[in-house]
Parts: sequence; structure tokens; C-alpha cells
Amino acid sequence: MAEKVEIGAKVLSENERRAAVIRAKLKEHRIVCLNLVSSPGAGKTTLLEHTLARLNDEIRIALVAGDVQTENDANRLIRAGGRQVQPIVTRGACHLDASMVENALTKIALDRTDLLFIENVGNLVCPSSYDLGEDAKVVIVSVTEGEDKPLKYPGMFRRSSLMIVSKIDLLPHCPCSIDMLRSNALSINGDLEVISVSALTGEGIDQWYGWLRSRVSNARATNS
Amino acid sequence: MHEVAIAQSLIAVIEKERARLGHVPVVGVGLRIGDLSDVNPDSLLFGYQCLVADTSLAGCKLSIERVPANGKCRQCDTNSRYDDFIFICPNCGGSAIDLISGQELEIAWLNIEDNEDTSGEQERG
Repeated sequence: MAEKVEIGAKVLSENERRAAVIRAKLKEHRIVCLNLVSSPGAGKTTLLEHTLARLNDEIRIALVAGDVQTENDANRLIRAGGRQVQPIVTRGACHLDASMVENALTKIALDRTDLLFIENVGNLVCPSSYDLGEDAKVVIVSVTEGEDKPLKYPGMFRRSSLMIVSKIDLLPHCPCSIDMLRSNALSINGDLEVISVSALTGEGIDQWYGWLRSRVSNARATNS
Repeated sequence: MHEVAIAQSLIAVIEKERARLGHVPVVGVGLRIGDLSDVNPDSLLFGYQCLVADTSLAGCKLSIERVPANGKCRQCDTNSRYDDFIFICPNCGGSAIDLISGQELEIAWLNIEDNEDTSGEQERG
């Protein structure tokens, strides 16, 4: 005789438990945490290098940089002025999980941090299942990737709060309509904010810095 | 391809629930996977079967129920199903849609073997 027992348990409950611990710890320290996701090569590290160069003296930034292999991204962020940078090398795994981030955070001085970036592994599918304790996911799409990217990866765009359209300096050379990209993204997630930037020329990037500043000052205001 | 990692988590949760139920033999697991969960059921099933081979869960069959993406429009309160994930309200055209379902990744039920046949005997007797 077999008997059916109702369970209702989340498969990733252990990851969610750890993510909740991270979230509580970051909140206690009034730290804004952003999980940066994109395809490989969309420009996450470049955007962060420029962000460090511009905001490092006004906001205390810590970074966790995930890569499948090499610590190249972490080293780039250190060269760009990152004072607290922790690499996570996943050795084949296609996403970061909360236990990896929990471990990396033990090496970061949270009492000297206002803003924590988690640079996820370049992948628009797998990282969407794993809560890392972030306040928001920021999805980065470069103009060379095509306007239909949000339609192809709805799970990730649905879970993100901000879409950065990157490499807009390449618009004269590739057939991409930012309006179409934006409307595709908004059809998946009507609440998504959109900022278009070129890290190379600096176009639009002040809007990104403004978005970060307001997040950080809101965190200070609401928790104090 | 993160389904093997998810299958590992799934097995850990099954073992935990099994322990909670008094280490009963589990012969079936019912999983609910949302269409927007970014988890492929076939890959998950394959990963699960590879991982449970030669373990105490080897005979435990995984049944997967897909859960469609359903949303409620913030503007007109209409509930709709969004199979193409284009969240534009068919009633009012609004794009502010709150998800009601579609991101599930959960164990709905376990099928456990009842070792003590006495209760059955009593019913029959």
C-alpha cells in the first residue's frame, strides 16, 4: 500500500534559507546588494570598472566576481580601484548559489561597505533560479545581441528590476532598435526600468550612477 | 544546464522529508515546475535518474506537473494565463501584471510505502 503525503517544500529551500541569511546580514549593515546577470560578453565587468572609477570615493563598494574559470574579472576590478574584491571560480558550474556568496562575504568587511555588486556567471538561464540575497537583479544586454533577447530569456527578464542596454556606441554599426528592445523587455516585465549606456563614450552612464546613488541613499534613510 | 544541481537539491529535500516522516520508503515524488522557472523537466528527470541509481531512492519515481504562468492585471484585476510570457493584459492592454503562478519549483507530494499492513488488514477484516 502506498500513501500520498502532501509536502509543499521548495526544492531550493536550502539555497533560499542561505539567501535569507545573507539578505538579513546585508540589511543590518545597510548594504545595497545588486546581482548582475547577462550573457557572456555583454559588458558586466567593463560597466563595473567604470563604476568603480567614478563612485569609489563617494560610495564604499565591494564586489564578488563569479567566473567559470580564471580570476580575470576580479583582477580587472582590483586594477580599476576595487578595494574589496572577492573572486568566485565555479569550475564549470553555470551559476552562483547562495552558499558561494555566503563564503565570499566572510572575506568582505561589511561594516565598511555601502554597495555590494555580485557579478554572476555570464548566463541568462541558470542564475535566474538562485536567489543570492540581493535587493535586485540588474540584467545587462548589449546592442549586438539582438532586440529579441528578452523574449528568448523571459525567466531572467521577469525577475530583474533594471535592464542596462550596453555598448550603445555600436548602434551605428548594428541593426538594433533600442525602442524595440525596450518594448520587448517591457512586454515580459512591465515594471522593468531601462537605462542605455556606453561605458566607452560615457553616454547615458550618469543615469546609471544616479540610479545607484538613489538606491544607496534610500537604504541609508530607511534603515537609520 | 543547472538541472543536475537542482536534482541534487531535490534529493536532499526528499531525504529530509523522508527522515521527518520516520524514514519510510518513498516510491514516488510529485514535483511542480512553473513554466517560467527556467528549469527543463526532461533534463531534471535525466539528472535525477542518474543520481538516484544504486541508492535507496532508485525505485522512487519522479512525476512532474507543469504549472502555467498566470497573472493578475494591476489595472483591471483580470486573471489571465500567459503561455507566451508576453504579459500584456488581454482585457485592458495593461502591462503591470503580477504573477500568480509560473515560478514554482517545489515538491508537492511524496508517495510513501506503508509497511504496516495491519491497518489494511483491519479494514478488509
